[in-house]
Amino acid sequence: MKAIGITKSLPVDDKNCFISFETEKPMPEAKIFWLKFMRFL
Amino acid sequence: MVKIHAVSVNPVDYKVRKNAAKNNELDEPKILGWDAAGVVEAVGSEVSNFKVGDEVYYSGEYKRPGCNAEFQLIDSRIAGHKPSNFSFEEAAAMPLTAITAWEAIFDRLRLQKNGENNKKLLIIGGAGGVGSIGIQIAKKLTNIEVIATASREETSNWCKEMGADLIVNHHDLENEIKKANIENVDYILNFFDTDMHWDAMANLIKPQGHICSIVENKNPLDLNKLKNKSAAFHWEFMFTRSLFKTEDMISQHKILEELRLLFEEGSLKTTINKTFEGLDTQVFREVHELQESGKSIGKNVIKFIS
Repeated sequence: MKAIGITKSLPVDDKNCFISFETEKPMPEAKIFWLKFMRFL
Repeated sequence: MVKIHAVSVNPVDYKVRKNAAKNNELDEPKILGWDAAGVVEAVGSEVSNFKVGDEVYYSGEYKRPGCNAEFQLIDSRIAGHKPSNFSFEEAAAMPLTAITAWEAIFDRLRLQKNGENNKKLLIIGGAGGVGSIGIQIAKKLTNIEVIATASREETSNWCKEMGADLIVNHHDLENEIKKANIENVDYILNFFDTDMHWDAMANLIKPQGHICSIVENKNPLDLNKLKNKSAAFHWEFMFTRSLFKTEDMISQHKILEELRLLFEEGSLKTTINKTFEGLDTQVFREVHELQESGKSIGKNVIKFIS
């Protein structure tokens, strides 16, 4: 998924104060359980 | 897990941006954002108050990844169902400020619903996000007289629109209050600058009155100024319950549900002022800049999904 974050504390007038990056979609534990179960099958 | 449609920006966002990685570069990017509205995509096995497809609004937790992303995991005890008459943008404007104002009014100052006749509440910083909904909650639910501070014509008009009975300029607070023939007030909510207004608050509070602030002080505060009056000072931090996993953590779900009903019946209205669009770094820069200027009125919202 796409997310906006920071890796450094920069002033707002610095155009790099935010970075856009891709990260894994978070999952509630029920969904993780079912994904593991499906893989097991 | 929530698919996020809209978020709003609060002072906590730029405070964390400016301080979280001041002395070192983070290995993993930190996702900011503590106000969102969206749709539930998946639920954990112990969640009983939400199902997939529910529209929700929430603030989130201080220590967990924020909402400036396509998806977010959120503890169901601190989320509420989105008011059905609100767009995602209107709903995203509300959770952090409304929970803060609600907790300050009912949990810290302990005002009674419909029970504050002939009493006065001074709200310092009436046109900001928390002030805007704080004025509405106090007026609609407690019968108290609300005096709000604002210094510009634009912010004074906004406070009147939110329901304030009287507007005073915070640059000369004590004299402004005296000019209005008011000697003292029963309660004070400070949503602006604790250091700047400490002396005025100590002088204006009624004996045995209560002051609550949400803004940390930069210099030591002289609590002795409240001693002869037996006046009380309270902090409000809306992340306390989730930060310490307090036993009553679910009360924020209940607050958001109670607020939802008040929004739906039209007793309270959204405090959204400006809407921006896009999960984009430059959009976030623009909104942070506006928020940091201190001139922002109501709430600034960023819409992710059209």
